[in-house]
Amino acid sequence: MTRRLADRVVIVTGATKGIGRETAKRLAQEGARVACTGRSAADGESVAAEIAAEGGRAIFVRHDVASVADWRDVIARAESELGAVYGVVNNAGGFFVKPLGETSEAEFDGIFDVNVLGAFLGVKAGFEAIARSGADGSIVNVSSLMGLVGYPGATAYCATKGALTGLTKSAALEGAQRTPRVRVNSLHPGVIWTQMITGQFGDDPALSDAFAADTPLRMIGLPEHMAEAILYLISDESAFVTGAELTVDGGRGAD
Amino acid sequence: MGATLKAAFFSLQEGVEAIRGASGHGAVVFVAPSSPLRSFDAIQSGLRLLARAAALELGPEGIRVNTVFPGPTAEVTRLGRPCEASDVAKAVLFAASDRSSFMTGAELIVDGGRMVA
Repeated sequence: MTRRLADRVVIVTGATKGIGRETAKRLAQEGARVACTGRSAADGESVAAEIAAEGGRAIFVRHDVASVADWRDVIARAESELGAVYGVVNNAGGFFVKPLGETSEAEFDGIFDVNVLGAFLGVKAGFEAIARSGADGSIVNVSSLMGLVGYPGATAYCATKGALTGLTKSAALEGAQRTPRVRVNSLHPGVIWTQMITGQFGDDPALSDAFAADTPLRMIGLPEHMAEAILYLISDESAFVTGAELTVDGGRGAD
Repeated sequence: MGATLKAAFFSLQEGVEAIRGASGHGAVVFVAPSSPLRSFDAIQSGLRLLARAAALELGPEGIRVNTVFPGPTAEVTRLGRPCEASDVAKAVLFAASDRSSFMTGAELIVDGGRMVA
């Protein structure tokens, strides 16, 4: 079977851990040349090395997604070292649980910078880079089930993910009017067992079991599940899909 | 309208029995009629809730239920062409395969951006 992303250049932000790391590896298995970005050079270099060890092509670029200068650097390195850019996965994200009344302005600004401004700059940079490529492209924004429904103690996080859901719709409309065209879709993961969750709630296996018990499919989500959904959205498998919300949450959101 | 929902309901019932009789876990994919999701269409709305309720009920036994919403097949969309059968087939394949093993109660919109605005 031909590989779904043969020789296509894709930028994956937050590729150092969790969903982003698994996605970078999965896209590389499908032939993509992946620019893995993130803040930890050690983790980023190791994911690029893992991809290379499997016969894929990847680079790591140190990246603060809220920095315009960093985005310029990421695009320049992807274009010069991997080739014309086809896609961007805006995966980098922050998460914290804290009652509304105890959340400071600095905390709000911090999570907004990564989850909203970071993705906004990523779509903008992606549009420009895809235009230079001369071929149609695809962008996936990793939102959250909490970008569709509320959760007590996650007001700031829900606000950022709701903003990202809306950002995706408008970007999809603009992307459809561009030449070449850019599809823009959002993925809405439920509870996925990554450091983003364990960093807030701890990594006790009993907690994972509790999340699973509270999910209709009676299982915990894994980064591998998200990587497959991102592969569907970024590749030509979903060539007729834009502005869509794909929820992969074990059924939590159906309730 | 009633006939469409009734057909969906009883084909689900039969399908679930067949899945239970085989491996015990599996996937059901509904393909909705190709009409705009945003319109207050009784068939679409009925099917959406039918699928969500079924996803909740069948999830604990490992049977997933998802719905694909095709776009217009005779109208040029924002992506410059109508919906083709292969677009729907690819979404159905994703929803039916183990690639989406954590996905249930989801809606896959394959409409060329029709319902975005």
